[in-house]
Amino acid sequence: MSRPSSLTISQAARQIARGDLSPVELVQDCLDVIEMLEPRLRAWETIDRPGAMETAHAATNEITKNGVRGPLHGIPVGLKDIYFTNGMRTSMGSRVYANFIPEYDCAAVEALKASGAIILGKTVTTEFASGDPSVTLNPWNQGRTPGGSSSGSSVAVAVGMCPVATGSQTAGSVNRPAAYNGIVGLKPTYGRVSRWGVFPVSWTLDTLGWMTREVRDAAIMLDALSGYDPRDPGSANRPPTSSTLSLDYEDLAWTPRIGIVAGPFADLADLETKANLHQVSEALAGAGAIVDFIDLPDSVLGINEAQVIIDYSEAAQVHREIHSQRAIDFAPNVRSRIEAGQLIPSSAYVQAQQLRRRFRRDMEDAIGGAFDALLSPATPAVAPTPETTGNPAFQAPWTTAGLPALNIPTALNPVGLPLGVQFIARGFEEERLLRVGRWAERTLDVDLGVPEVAPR
Amino acid sequence: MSEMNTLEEARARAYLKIREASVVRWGEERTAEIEDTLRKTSDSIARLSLFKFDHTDTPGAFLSEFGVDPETASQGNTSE
Repeated sequence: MSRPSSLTISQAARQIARGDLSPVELVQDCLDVIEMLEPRLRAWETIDRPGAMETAHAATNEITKNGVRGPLHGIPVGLKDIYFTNGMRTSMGSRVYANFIPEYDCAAVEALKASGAIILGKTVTTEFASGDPSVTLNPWNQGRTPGGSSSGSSVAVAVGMCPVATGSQTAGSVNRPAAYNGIVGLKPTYGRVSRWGVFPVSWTLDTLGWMTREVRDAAIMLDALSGYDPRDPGSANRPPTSSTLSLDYEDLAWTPRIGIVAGPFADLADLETKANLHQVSEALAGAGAIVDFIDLPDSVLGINEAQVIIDYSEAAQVHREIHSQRAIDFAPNVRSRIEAGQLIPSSAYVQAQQLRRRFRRDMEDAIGGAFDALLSPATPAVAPTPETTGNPAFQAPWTTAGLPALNIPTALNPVGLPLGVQFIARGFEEERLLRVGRWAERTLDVDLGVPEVAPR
Repeated sequence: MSEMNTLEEARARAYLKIREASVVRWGEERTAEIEDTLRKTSDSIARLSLFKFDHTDTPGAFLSEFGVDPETASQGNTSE
């Protein structure tokens, strides 16, 4: 029998609803895994053992009396350490905010608590969710990066410390670490999930997302966290999704129309990654998907550069005041971005935003009615050595365009490092994206298992 | 080939400009320390400068297709 910490949200929720598993048992087992592996992997900034157990007992009592509130009731969650948590230290991975304790929850934590989820603690982020190397180690090979900036969240989910953890993506910080750790990552459409109370990197790029072990779990999280929030000026005036319901009532005879990203953009991938994409597309076509190649519009050729200009310009402004007083307390990469960002001409910033809108429009037209989703490599290569957090070139275009993107694991390479692919859909078409991802997940039937990490 | 030359020229121009601004703002020593980031920034500026935009190319941020209609958006902060 599987230990509770290895269950997905869906599996655990079913057992909890039936009374076969209690939130206390589930949380205790996750804390046991953390106890065993944390000294080795360093995925957590703060672990709230007493708080998590107290909430688990309360949830167990409530469920016994009144039944479950929904699929997240009693489910332990890790939170990237830029999500404000009332009374719990939120450091942004920085020396500047090392002892900062918020006095309120961010919107996402409000929603998670309302749905009955149990906060285990805060996971490691690279400093200010930017590009400095992570202290967290990749569980598949401790000589490789886990990716970033949502490093701790990805590793925690991959090794069974929790079935879900939150992240954020300004370039590639959800789906890149998800790919490097062999798990599912979802970055919704810009505006779909409120960022109120999450420390910003770049106001017009930041998008909250999460990592799970299966696509259906990503849908459960989307349904819990989506919806309009006037406190976030980037929040879209749209109702919450009901994507889990649409997955559960899908037509089993349905097959998706998939556009394989081709051309110079796809050439950023190495041979191993291209071969993986080819094998995946063959398998999907063999199972009935309508697969065709799609050349991306010319606007893609400047979109990663547009991301850099917007990211650095806005980050410079986010940190301007504190940097002017405490520059030496910033990590090297984020500090250099702040300093370069202050030198970017306003004309370049406006051009970047112009190209961004053009690319979004071009991509909406390109996907149009022809495809349910596009398919691209998740990353140019498997996880590199840990001096960097890896290359976000296959995520940044979709983040910049605000389009939803989903990573699913597809294989281990010959030295045991995860490979993945990424699906991309039109804006606010997460339900379609998740449907394609769920179909691909079932068709490929890949189970990478849990990486074996020797306790220290 | 001419397109490549144009991009290389734009890169060289953009780097000289940002380097000069950096020396004024951060000093020679700090400029040397952040040279890689300055180079990445100026390369990005150069690439963008080669795209043609006109008055119909509205910028993308905080407009309806990226989120809420600005008419109905509050002006609150995303963080505190």
